[in-house]
Amino acid sequence: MQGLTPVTFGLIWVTLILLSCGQVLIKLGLGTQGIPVGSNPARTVLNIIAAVLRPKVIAGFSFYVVGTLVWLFVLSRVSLSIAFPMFSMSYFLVVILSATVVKERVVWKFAIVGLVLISIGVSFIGLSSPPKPLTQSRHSPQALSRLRDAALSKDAAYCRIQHRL
Amino acid sequence: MGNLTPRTFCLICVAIALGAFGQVFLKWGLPPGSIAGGHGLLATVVAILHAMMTPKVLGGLAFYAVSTLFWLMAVSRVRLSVAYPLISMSYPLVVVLSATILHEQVRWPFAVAGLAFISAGVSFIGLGLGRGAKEVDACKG
Repeated sequence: MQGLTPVTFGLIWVTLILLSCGQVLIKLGLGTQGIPVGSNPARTVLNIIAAVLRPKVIAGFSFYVVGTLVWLFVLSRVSLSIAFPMFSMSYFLVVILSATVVKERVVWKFAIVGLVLISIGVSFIGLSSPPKPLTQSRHSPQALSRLRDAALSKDAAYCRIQHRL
Repeated sequence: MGNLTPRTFCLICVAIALGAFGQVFLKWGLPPGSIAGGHGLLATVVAILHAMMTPKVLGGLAFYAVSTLFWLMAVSRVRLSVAYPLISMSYPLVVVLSATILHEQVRWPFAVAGLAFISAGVSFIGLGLGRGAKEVDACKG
């Protein structure tokens, strides 16, 4: 099992920020009008290509690509059962960006209750993450195996003393 | 803006399933140590791109892209206050798939509590955003 570290937790936030900003940029780039449907299919395809080539849309897709690369890096280091529920923190950004940049209406009493519940949930998921992978422990392999034997024989005092060293 | 119909319900279910299996494929294709770190930013980016070029990761990304399309089709047809509670089911699904397919050790008491709070929270956000906001006004009026 691969647990969270401060670095991977930070990188999950980097992923969420990049994906959310990418989505907002694409939405702003396409505008409220969306993509106009042309008089014939060829015209519509040209309109879609023109829309995708708008600077904001290109920037948005770039954010998406970089965010996905960071996510792959995180996945190689954190268990999926820990990392994926952390994605729900993106709703903080969804609410904030909806209210400020996209200027949609937000019913704050629902939004705040939702965000509080998500924070509690993510904290539980974080608590279920193992504190430190054994392979990255500062103890030598010999000390670790002694520690494991002591733990198996329920020699709690030995474990505590060794842990402090 | 629509209520749930069998058609849109299926759209959302397909989006959730594809997204969840996409994540499982990504994780499956990225075992520990598959992306080396700590040799500078450029080397890390190259390492990520290198690790990406496996069938599992590319397949996972494809699943993910198609899932996004289904999701966009769904949210343009269904109110967010209905769509968000459904989409929040992707969190429990991914954790169950991690335990069964990827054999990750899951500490269930924490996971169940966490997922329950997250799903409830996402459902509330659905009530508080966009089209949901208009519905609340309509209910008051």
